[in-house]
Amino acid sequence: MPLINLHWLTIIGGVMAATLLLLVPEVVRARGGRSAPARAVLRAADALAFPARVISLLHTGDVRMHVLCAVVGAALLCAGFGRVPWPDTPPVVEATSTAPSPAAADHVEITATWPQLVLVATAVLGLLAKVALRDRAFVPVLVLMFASLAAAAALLVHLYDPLASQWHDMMGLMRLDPLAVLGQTALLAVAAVMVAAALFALSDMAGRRVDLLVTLVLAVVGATVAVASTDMLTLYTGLALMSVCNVILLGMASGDPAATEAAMKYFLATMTAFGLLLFGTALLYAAVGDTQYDGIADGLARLIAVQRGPTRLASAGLALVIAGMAMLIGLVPFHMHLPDACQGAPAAVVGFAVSVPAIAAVFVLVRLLMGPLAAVGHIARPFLLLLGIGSLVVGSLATVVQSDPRRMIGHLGVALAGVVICLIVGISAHLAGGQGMPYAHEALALTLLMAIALPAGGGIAAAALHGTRLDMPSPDARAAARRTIASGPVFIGAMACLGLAAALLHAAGPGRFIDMPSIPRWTAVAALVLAASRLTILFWRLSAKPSAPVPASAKVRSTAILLTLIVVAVAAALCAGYVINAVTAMWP
Amino acid sequence: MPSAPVVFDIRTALVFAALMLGVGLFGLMRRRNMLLVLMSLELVFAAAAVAFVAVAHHVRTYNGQIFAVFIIMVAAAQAAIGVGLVVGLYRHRNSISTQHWTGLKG
Repeated sequence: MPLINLHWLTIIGGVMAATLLLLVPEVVRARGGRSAPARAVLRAADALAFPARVISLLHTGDVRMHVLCAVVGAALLCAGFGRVPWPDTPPVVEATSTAPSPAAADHVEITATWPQLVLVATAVLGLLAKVALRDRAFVPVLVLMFASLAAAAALLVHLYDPLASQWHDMMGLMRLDPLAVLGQTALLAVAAVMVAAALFALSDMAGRRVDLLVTLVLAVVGATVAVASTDMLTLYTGLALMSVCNVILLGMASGDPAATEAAMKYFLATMTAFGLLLFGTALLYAAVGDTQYDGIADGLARLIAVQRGPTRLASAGLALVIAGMAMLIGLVPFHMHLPDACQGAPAAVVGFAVSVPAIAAVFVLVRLLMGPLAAVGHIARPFLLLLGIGSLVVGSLATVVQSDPRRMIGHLGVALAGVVICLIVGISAHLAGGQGMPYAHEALALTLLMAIALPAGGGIAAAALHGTRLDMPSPDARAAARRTIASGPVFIGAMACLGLAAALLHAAGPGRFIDMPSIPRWTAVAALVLAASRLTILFWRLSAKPSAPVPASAKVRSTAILLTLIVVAVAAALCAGYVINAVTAMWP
Repeated sequence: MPSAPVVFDIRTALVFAALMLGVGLFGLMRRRNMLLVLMSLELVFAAAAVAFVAVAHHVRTYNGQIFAVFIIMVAAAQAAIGVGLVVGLYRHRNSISTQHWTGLKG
């Protein structure tokens, strides 16, 4: 594959054109824009930004609008799922059941839950330390928390045996398979990074720093339980624990009205998502008679074989489960609460609260698509693809008219979630097709790594950009250094968008890109280019010369971080290209 | 006079749960008072719990009943968080109407 070819040149030209389209009006506006050509440029820019303004107007800030969009989206999904015919031939269900043997039925194997037990013990110790030591408890609890995160990761690595014939399983509720180990390790690592980033912004958490750490550990427990779940019961309890802890984290800066508003909106949105998820699970349970993943897979296979029974009930349940998961990930039209939460959250927790739920929900969705819902994947995939492309377009367009960088990153998070969902849909289609795709698991692993890196980078940038507005100069050296550090993840996002757009265009050559006809594919490319352009402008503004001198230490630190991030960004872009090429090269 | 036994089959139970869900979601979309919004949310969770219990009785397994117990338990925790948020909202603006909390938008 040549490094420079027509596709790359198209991408670079497109980005330059889009950047100019966005940049020229800004320059004209900054200089006054009174002459006739300047007024024409501004009118043209306003016309181009019209769709973005319409999308922005829909974000009224009213929570009832959030719920309305979610309910309408869920109703449309239910209607759509009901119209897709079920397959004629029953799928071949692999025997993945790890039911305990009769001899082992007397005791409960809890090996799979050791990491969670370590984290829960840490949380309890943290609370006891706060009672005993009061204000002096922060440093010991911080050390204890990092040690417990490391210990949990070490336990995961120790317990995981890739050559084992059976994974560690707890009563069919949780299982330590490769997906669970990857997801849990990633969540632990992201949590550690986000806590380290939060240490620089603890000023608005005075007196509640230990509470913050304990709540954060419990949220990680919930996320890791959900990622390793093999039953809808553990899935729900894990996600519920994570969401409740996230709401507490978002509202912890109780003196800030914006934080309270963000917590309230996040709370109502996630609870609505759980309502849809639970009712969908109940309908699936009515259709197949089980809540365990293996039982659901068997039940759906039976339904398909008999071609009778409550298939409409199962379709509605499937639609509601997908709607609930889409709301937790933040896919259009279930995304309205995410930019609000990102904008109003306290700086110390925004990175964690934005990235960890998205990562956990993506892993859970992959687990559902590859496991219990694999038999009816052909019904779910087109709708997931629609949600993904919709997120790409709406998220990218909405960034154009934002002046608050944290809100912009929230919208970009929606767009990038769309990218990840499109990739996952493509890979799961390959795996379900059974076409012997040699790189499917590697592609899936790389896509999941991207699903980890993108929200984590956005979270770091959102936390670092606390109190910064794009239309104001840096008031002091500290703010300038912070902006410089934040520009790293922004640059990564731009590079990832470019890499994905290039890979999409590459994929257009030899094969097709995940069943997408050409119009949605080019729409996705255009949206990615737009997102990359907007990110480029954000990067340019953030790295502009500050109005006050920056301390030498901050310069060295930010330069080192930036260089590292550039290397990671290039690697991520290459990986993205490799993934999509590997997927599409095997497509018939 | 002995009355005829009331038959509450699975279809009736699921329709009843769906109606509860609809009423709860309508309340979420219609109401502005945060306390009424929280009550609507509880109705949504109760609808799911009713559906689980009815299906568990129908398919003769215990999964649904255990699920319902967990739903009730988690809903109680969520209600506690919600009431805490209501108190926080009232402290800031002397109002618990959601229409006064639209500062984050765009």
